[in-house]
Amino acid sequence: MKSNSIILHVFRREIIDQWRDRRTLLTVIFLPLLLYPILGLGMLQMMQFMSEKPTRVVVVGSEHLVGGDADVVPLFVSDGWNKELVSEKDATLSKVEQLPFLDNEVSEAAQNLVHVESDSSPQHAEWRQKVQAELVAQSADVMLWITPTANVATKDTSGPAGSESSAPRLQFQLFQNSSSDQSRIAASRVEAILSTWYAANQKRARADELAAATGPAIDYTANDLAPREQIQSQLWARILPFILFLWTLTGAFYAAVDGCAGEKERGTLEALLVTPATRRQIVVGKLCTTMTFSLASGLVNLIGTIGTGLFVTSQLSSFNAPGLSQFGPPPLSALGWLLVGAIPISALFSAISLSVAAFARSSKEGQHYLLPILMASLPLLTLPLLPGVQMDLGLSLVPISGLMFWLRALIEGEYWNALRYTLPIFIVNGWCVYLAISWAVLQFQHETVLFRPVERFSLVAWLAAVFRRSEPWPSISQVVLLVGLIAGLKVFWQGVAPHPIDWPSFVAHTVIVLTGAVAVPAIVLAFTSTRAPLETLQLRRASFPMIFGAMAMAFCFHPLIVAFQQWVMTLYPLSVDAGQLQSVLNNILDGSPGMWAILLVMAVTPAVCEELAFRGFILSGLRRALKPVNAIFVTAVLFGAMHGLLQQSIVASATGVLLGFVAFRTGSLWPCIAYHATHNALTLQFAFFNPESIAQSKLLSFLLEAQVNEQQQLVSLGYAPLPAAFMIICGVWIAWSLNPGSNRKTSECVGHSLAGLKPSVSEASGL
Amino acid sequence: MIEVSQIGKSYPDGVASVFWALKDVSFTVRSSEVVGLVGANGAGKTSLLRILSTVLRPSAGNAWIGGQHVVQDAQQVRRLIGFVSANTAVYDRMTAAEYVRFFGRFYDLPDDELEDRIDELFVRFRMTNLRDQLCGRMSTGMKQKVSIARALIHDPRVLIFDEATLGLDIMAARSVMEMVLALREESKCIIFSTHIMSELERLCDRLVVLHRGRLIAEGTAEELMAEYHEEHLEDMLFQILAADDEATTV
Repeated sequence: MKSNSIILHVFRREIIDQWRDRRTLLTVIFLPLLLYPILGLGMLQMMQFMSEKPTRVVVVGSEHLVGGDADVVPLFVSDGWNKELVSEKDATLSKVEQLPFLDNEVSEAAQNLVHVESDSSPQHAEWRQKVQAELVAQSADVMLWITPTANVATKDTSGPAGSESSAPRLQFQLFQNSSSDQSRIAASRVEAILSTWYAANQKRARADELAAATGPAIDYTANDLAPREQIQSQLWARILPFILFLWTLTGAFYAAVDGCAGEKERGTLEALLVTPATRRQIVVGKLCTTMTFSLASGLVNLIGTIGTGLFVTSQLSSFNAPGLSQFGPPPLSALGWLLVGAIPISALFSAISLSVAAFARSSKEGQHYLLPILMASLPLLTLPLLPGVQMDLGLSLVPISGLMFWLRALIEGEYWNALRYTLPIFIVNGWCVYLAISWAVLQFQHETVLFRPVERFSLVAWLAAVFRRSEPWPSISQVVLLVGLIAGLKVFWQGVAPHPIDWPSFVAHTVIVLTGAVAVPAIVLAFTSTRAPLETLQLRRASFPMIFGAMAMAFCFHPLIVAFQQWVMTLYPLSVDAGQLQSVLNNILDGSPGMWAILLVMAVTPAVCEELAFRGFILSGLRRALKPVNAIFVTAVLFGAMHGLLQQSIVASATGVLLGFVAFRTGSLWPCIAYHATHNALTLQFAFFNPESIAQSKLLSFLLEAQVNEQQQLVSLGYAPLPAAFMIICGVWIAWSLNPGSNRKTSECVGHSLAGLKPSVSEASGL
Repeated sequence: MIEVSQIGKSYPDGVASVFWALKDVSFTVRSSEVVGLVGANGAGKTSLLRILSTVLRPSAGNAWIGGQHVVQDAQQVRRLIGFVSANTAVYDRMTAAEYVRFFGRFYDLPDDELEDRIDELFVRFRMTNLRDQLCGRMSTGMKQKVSIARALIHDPRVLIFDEATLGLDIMAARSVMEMVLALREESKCIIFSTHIMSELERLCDRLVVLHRGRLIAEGTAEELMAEYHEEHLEDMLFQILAADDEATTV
């Protein structure tokens, strides 16, 4: 053979080998195709946390701005910033509280901070502490202190735009804490508003040809309350946990791949599996090894980073470049906290790595999984690094991110904040560790951990299997296909379709998404890929008592869902943008022909379409492979994931669990549709209630509890505790009574169906 | 001691179909008996032995070892058996003694008893020179001897050998055979699969012949040779397999 032919010959063999390696194909080609849309959806959910959060400004001395020259554009009105200067959104984001005066001690401290040059003396620290304590007492992020000074005709260069003035000068002193993101954001917002105000005054002065005479003369100074060490530790508090996380993951992954996939490859695992050690003992033993390597990798890299940091900062001190003052040596106390934090972090990453490595057939395959894990973790790792994102209960419940926040708080010395969220953070991440270990144990219990055959991937064969109609109910592949179709079609339609602006376009948009992306794929797949499409979609007869029972159950459990929704909104408050979307939706609904149309489009249509897909096709498929409880939960999570906003997804998942329960108890889709439609209708009705309509109805006044603000606008609406408790008790009773026994024919049908869905004994029990 | 009843084992074959590697196999092995498992490649020997060693789950039928079910009482079965396979590797980065000690600890042996047992095994099988040698530096035969020592560390009542002499040179194979012979003298229940007829002749009280997943013959070597009118074991086996192939084709 000629040289080129030999090269081609070798190339061809290698390509055939890789092509027939189904896992490699999946990880190298198909996984990124799936991963990026999932990452995109994840980023969208993260936008909720990245969205601008309101900040609070206390203003002292605002009286110096009013009562003077009438030609000056007012900076404040009675309830906040002058709306002519700032948009409604900015006004919402930058809340103002006007204080008549400052406590003498605080005032004196503030004066000293302004006039005495900043240094690291204990005296200066005390002044800063006093003003900072005032900020905390006022729950404010920044303080704007306005004081008049003597009339001096000077060229002002310190103001936002600079001016030449002979008018009474005003001193604007902004006190911020640059170690707090929220305070920095608040300060930048105030500065932007002051700039706008100053420009507006200049414009008015020019228009009135009174430029120098009436334009306000101001001195503006920003004062930082954060001690230098705190600013420096804040920088390291962001860098060090990130490095620790990155290296603990990498260290864990390589150890896990060697311990699982490597051992399979070397042929040593079989001897271990024949010993009396339980699979869980083997997995936990391997977890400890993985953790050790993960910890070592993380800590060695941290020591390297801190050492380098100390060296670099000692060298930088000889340069007097601006901005470098914020870059100081890393606090050594951070190393102690990182040592503490490294344990739960490495436990989490080791468990995840181990479960993934157990899935891999070979080390080569295992290595391919590192990048997807890293990419999936990155948004969670970067979330705590985003400006303005602070730890709260909601964020502490996010796996990985919660741990990052916790560690950051410890390094920054915010011990109370860290302690407050320790329990939820450890519960959530501990649960993730448990799930990952359980998955690894499950894999070790299955013989494929040792003897997974070489798989040759054939798309045609896979599609042929999907559409073979060999089984009465959907397979897991078919369920995955439907979920992928729904997600893909929804994303595609929302990407190409224009946003609805009025009622007709809203109806068209909603109906197209629900039917085209949700119901039709489910129906088509049920009829083309299963032998019993009506059974698959659970379109079995249901008695009227069962349907009415489901409706009554939806009504009775509504207080529970409303309370849960309120709790979710407290955990993850809606962003300002999401609130504006709500007002756009309200405008659209105002153009509807009536409540009946709104209910038809927003309550009944989603109920029918979503139930066909989720409690119909998907639940039927999942019940083949999972226990009923797990099938209900997985279906509910998928149902929630298909809803756009994070808050909506969580509430939809909770409702999905109840709907799954109804489907399981009744064995029919009709009660699920009835429940879903009733639930949607009640939720919609809730959105239309106002204090007047509640006050006018005795029943509503008894059932509901409304909170209104000073302008008599509805702030929150929920059920009164007593009726809510009674309704929930009734709901539980109805749920208990809701069974197919009340309808003999349905019972027989469901009994038959359930018998068919039971997994075989050998499938059900693990090795 | 070992009871196999209508065992079947299937593997996925392609996307939707399955391949039955074992079908309806039943036989028993008594205490103090050495049974040879023979058959062509792909006959289902390894699948059967892996089911008995609890690493594979049967798709049909049942099997018991010492009265314990191989699926339901897998943990107890693992205490009763010692398993050696040609495919089972040793930890390259451990010495022979460390390796055997590591596995010995799974059986709750007291430290001194474990050390005595290791010494006994290394002396008995003439492996004392391997004791502190890294397994990664050993030859295939040496590794297999260490593997056998690992399987015997808890003095199991039942031994399962799956082509334990595969790939070994004459000297190593002979050494392994001597180890099995010594175990036979101890009245262990042994099930032994191999392609080497001389090993079967020397070791086995009875033979179980598998072909294409089915049990096609069972008995002592003498009985089977008499039944098929052959003087040599190899010829007899060839006859049995060819007859079965012919019967299946027809």
